Amino acid sequence: MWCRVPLIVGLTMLVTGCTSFVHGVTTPTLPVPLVQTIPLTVGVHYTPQFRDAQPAARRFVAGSEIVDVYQLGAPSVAVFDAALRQVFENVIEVTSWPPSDEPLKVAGVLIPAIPPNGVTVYLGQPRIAVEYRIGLYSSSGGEIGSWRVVGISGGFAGEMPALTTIPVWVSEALRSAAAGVVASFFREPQARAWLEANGVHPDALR
Amino acid sequence: MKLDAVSPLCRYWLGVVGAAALIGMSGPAALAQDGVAALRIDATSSHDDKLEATLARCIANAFPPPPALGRDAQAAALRDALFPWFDPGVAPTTAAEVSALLEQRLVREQLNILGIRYLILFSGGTSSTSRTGDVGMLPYLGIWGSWSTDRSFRLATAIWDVKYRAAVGSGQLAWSESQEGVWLGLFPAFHSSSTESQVCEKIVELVRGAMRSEIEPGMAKVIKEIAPTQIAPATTAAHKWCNIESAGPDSRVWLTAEACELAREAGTKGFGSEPWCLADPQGNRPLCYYATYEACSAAKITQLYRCVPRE
Repeated sequence: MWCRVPLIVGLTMLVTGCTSFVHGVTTPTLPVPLVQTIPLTVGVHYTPQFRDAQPAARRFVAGSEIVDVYQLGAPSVAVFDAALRQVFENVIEVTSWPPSDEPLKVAGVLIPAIPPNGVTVYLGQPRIAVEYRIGLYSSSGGEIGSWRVVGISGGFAGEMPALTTIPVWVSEALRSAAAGVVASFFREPQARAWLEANGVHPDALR
Repeated sequence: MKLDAVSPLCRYWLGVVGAAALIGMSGPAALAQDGVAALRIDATSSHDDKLEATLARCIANAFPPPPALGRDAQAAALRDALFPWFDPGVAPTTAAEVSALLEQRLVREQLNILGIRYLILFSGGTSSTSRTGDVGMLPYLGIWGSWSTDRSFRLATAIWDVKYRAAVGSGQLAWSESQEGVWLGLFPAFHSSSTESQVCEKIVELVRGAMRSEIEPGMAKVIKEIAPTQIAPATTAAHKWCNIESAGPDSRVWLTAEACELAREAGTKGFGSEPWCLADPQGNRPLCYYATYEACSAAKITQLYRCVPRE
């Protein structure tokens, strides 16, 4: 299930010695989280940038630069959707943002984002980190807070990731990020304060 | 039929079968209460960590694996069952975090359902070196060469008693694997060696020691007699707690009556915001929560107690 041969577009620039690969990423299956459902309705807005996110990471192998492009958009939407629907009682997708007329009937709106350098490859360890930023907004569009979630994955020290291994690691990192998203509502001070302001005590739900 | 009428061999056989039946009857009860499982807290894979697999093999040979987890991929099944709390990047990294996690009601209930009493939490490191040896040409036979690979593993383990949310043992483990080989043309031949079995013996010994430790809820247990100068500050916690070793096993300690009295006389601050010496309703032993390193040093505290939560 984890192993899907990456989609290699294969843009090879022999003159510059730079090679680029585009990696498709498998959406991980998330287990049921060990938390009680948060009894709130939240909105989630996926920006076009998030839906089409393709962050790139550079690595050097035998003196040559390799640029890996990760097609993270669709799997990230799927992972966030699954994680939020498991955590909150009700999740409404907000298609246009900011809200135009009257405030949405939600406790808050979550807007995930992937930074341009959202994927980092550490070859020595070896490890892959996928970073997300979660923005939390009020129903009328005012910013409440934001926090960072980093998913990690990797292998043994000295193990050189093969081309087929990297997408598997990224998929594992997405699961780790999903775990971070779920845990963040119980750990991040801003998320906890927001829940408590809405009458929910996060410690009673885990 | 009288038993006398049964041949000695048959009687022996009946005895063996009877004993096996009794073991079989008592087995599941033991499994349901005292299961042992291992999780790597610095894992970078939720399902395929080789060190977790090694430890799971060691444990499964000595203790029956919890039936709900199965013999293979124990750690992966446990991590799924406890999602998201032991996933890479979310798993607890300090003793205080482990203690807090085991206080979570749903985590406790899940571990109970799975039949896990002892949780071996470990962090590990690997290093490997690989060398290419000689390469040459043999007449009529072709090219030959040799290589060798060495890989070493180091683990820091802590054994937690889930029932009392207390660390009941810890230890360092190390082992190595090496492989040497030669190849001739397309035909390789190699020899592997590993010291993994010694590690298995040590981890099993650690777990057995932890199981023997007598913990009673609501009671304090001396974990180490120390001089004040030997109290090491915990470097990973936000505050420097009274503790043995650098980060564990607990961020909360019970102190002796004498130690509390010394602290009181010294007027030492740093025993937490709660009333810092409480009378134990079961006896007269006062207990202090969240004593800092400075407070312990100032009070010349010479004994530390492990905090055992009440049920």
